[in-house]
Amino acid sequence: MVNVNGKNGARSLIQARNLDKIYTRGEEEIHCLSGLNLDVEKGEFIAFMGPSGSGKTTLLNLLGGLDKPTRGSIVANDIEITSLSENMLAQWRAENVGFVFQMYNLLPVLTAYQNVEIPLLLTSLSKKEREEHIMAALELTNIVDRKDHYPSQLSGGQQQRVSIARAIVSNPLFLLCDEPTGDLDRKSGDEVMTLLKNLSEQLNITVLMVTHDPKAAEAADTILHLEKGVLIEGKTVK
Amino acid sequence: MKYLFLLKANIKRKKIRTFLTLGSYFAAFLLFGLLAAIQSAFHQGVDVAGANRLVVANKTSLIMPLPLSYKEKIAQISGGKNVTFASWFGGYYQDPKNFFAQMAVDSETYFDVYKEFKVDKNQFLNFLKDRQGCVIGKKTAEKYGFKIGDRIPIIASIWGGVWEFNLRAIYTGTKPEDDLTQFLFHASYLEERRAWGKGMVGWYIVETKSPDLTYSVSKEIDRKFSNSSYETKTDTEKAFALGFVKQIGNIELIILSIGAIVFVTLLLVTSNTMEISVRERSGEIAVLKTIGFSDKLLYFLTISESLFYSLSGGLLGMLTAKLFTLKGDPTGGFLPAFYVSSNQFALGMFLIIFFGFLSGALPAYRVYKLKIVDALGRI
Amino acid sequence: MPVPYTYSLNSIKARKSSSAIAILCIAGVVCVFIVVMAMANGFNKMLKSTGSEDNVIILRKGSSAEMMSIISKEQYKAVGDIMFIKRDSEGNPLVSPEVVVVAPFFHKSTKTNALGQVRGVLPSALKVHPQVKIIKGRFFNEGMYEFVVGKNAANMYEGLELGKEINLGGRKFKVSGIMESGGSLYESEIWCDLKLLQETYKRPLNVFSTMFVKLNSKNDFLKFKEMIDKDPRLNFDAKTEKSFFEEQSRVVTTLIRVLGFLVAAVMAVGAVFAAFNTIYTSFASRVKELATLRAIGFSQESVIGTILFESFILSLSGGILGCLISLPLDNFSASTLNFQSFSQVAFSFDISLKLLLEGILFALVIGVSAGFIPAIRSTKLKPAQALRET
Repeated sequence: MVNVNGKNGARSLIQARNLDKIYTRGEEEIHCLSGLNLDVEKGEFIAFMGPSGSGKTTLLNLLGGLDKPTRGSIVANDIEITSLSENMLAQWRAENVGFVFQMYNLLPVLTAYQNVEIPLLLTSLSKKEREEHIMAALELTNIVDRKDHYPSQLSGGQQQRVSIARAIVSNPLFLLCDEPTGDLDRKSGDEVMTLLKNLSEQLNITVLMVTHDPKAAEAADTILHLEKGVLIEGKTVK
Repeated sequence: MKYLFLLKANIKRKKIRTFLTLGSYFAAFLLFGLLAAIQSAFHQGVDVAGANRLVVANKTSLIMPLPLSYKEKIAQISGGKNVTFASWFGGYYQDPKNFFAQMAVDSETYFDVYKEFKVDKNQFLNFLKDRQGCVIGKKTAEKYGFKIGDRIPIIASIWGGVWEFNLRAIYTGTKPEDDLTQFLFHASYLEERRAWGKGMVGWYIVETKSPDLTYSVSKEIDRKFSNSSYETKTDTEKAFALGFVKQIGNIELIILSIGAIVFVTLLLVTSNTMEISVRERSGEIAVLKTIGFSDKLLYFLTISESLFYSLSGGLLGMLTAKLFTLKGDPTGGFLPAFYVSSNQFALGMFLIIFFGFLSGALPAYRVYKLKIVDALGRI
Repeated sequence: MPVPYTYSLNSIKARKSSSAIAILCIAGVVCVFIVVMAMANGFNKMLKSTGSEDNVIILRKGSSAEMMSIISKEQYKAVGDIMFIKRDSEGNPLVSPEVVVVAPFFHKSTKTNALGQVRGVLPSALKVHPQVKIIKGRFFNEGMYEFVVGKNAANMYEGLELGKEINLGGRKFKVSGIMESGGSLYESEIWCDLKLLQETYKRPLNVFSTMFVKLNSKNDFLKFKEMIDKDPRLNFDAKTEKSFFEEQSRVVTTLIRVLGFLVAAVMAVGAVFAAFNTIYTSFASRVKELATLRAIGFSQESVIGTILFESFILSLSGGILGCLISLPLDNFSASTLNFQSFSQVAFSFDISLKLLLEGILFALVIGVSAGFIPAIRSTKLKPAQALRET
């Protein structure tokens, strides 16, 4: 179960303890996160909600190993990522995290297929094995028929599917989604959320998602609210 | 190798910019190749100079003659092996624009001293037998389509009239820089036909027994003729040629320095373009880093892209320059050695790679240092 | 509504390094353009101004250079009697017997001894060579060991400044004047008293190298030449001064024309690529910003105007900077070998106001046309689409 009091003794998939993140802007200190605790277990689908500036994206950056907390630690699958070097973090991300962004962030010069291939370049898979993985991911996200299209030839919803395929292709420990529906119309947004929910349920993939769209958040098992740098447990769907 | 498609996609991203960058490298190295050829052309004499050859010229000026009688006197000096002489003829074939050097030479000895010129034995014997015979370098023969047995009229601007020669032999060289444009004929024929200046020759060439002897032999020659009415100035062939290069003056320096300015400007520009193109892509680079691409790998990819531009543009430029020089001397005969040597080509290749690295280094460093959160992150 | 011009100025200021590179690059282009053209102009000026068509040089047949020629005093007198020669107010024919030798002088830029041409003339030689003007000091006095030094020779060799003494054939000559002759070959020469030169070089006093005569009209040349050719005492070639000097510099001319043109052409192409590349790149990476301007409500035309104005400013600054860099090279003297006499000839870079303006114009044409492609391109994108582009 998700836990935000930091007292979960059992070994969960992700354990965040006493996270502080302080930015300095000029002489002013901005406390973005203060003493945040979080335990996530495998297969959970969590939505983080909160007003702008509440630290949602900062939390996601810390969990994804893109940034380091001012204080506190994060342990994922028994590895304390907050003490890894930049290089080791990059490798850790390649093996363990799949990212889905609000603006999809596909490389405009590559086809859908090539975009999905990128994370696999960092593995030792052969060209043939890579192809198998890519096709599997594209099938799961139901975008195989567009594999040779460039991002500019795809709709927003289609681009987001490609980006999800890219996130799951290397079979990561968990997915981090930053406002995955933020730039989509309602219909495409619903489709993307259904896709994420299915992935979570059928493949038991752990999904951590930031959103301020309550409708999108409904797809999650658990909704956590971020307020003034700490998490408050919301309703549990399951 | 698996990253190749990433590289390809980046190169195709902005076609105009890629074209301009390749064009800049192309122009820079075409220029480099041409400057190299000009330099070879000016330094040709220096490159082909025989280590144990001396040139004996009139002390006042190369254009003033020396007496024929000096030949025996020079031959007596110990340390010398072969002595030969040559005189400038100064004519032209059909049109003054058709320039190639014509020299009346001591035909028996000339090729003993210039061993790098190869002549077929039978052809050479025919040449010796024919009073009006001549030997022509392969390049000139090919340029004007001269064949053995042809009768070649040369209009003599110094001596007057039209002089006819029979082509008896064609010489070839042993090195690419050998001058294969000369037109050589019997000094005895010049002596017989000219109205004045009899008993004089242009300059002597002396081959010493070993390169170590050049200094002492040259001193001895000049000493022997000092205080005569025709004093000599003897130099090694190399020093003579170098002196000549210096005399050609700062024209070469001016051309080379202007070329260098352009060269550097072009490279500054390609570096700047690379820098801007990387800055533009910082979002994408951040995404790649997020996915797990290491700083080093991205550094390597950026450098590779820069190397691609320098290699393809630069190589094309060098090859174009090479092709251009293969067409021959653009001045129509004044620069018999207008070519890009293999050393210069190697230097060009080195510079291509060096500047490929250099112009990629700064942008690649920027990529290396790029922080994901700065490029992607919104707090 | 036009975009305020301060936007362009601020934009140049804000992008310091990219603007600096664009300006530097254009400055380089303009500098190369000016230097190459200045060299060509200076060289052409030398060729054009050397030798008038009513002056005739007489040499012994077959002499490819003046110093190889020999003319006896009797022959000289015989030539003086020929018709068609212009006479001065006292009725004397305008003929100038001259002795030409070469002597080593220390060449400043190559740091070696180079051969310079020394010409012995009578004080009256200026009547035959009216284009020769003394710009500093005075002409030599008859019977004095004095040199009149050509402007280029004075620049080219060490120790030929006005008032200095220099050794020639064991005698000390003092530089009494510096002469100019409209850029001609004489500016590379050193002139002195005819008799003293003959004595210094132990030449017989009744033998000269060449002689120059001034004709009544250039139309008389062929008739004059015929007289020379017919006279059995005279084994001479007569050539107009102009064609003689053209012959003298044929090798140099070809070298400079062909090589200069070749190198200049490639450099110009390279420079255009460079300038184009910088300006194009700097705008192409700002599509988003330009789209923002459009989104705010500025018209297509005014956005294009902004881009062109900015590239105009950049190329203008580059052009002016290029002019300033090249300006010190005005009158810079380039020297090379006269392949006929194996002595040095020099010519000066000639940077005129016209050339500077052409340089700036060149910069503006390149700069503004390089701005044109991104300008047009920015208008083809819909603002919304452009704003999406990263």
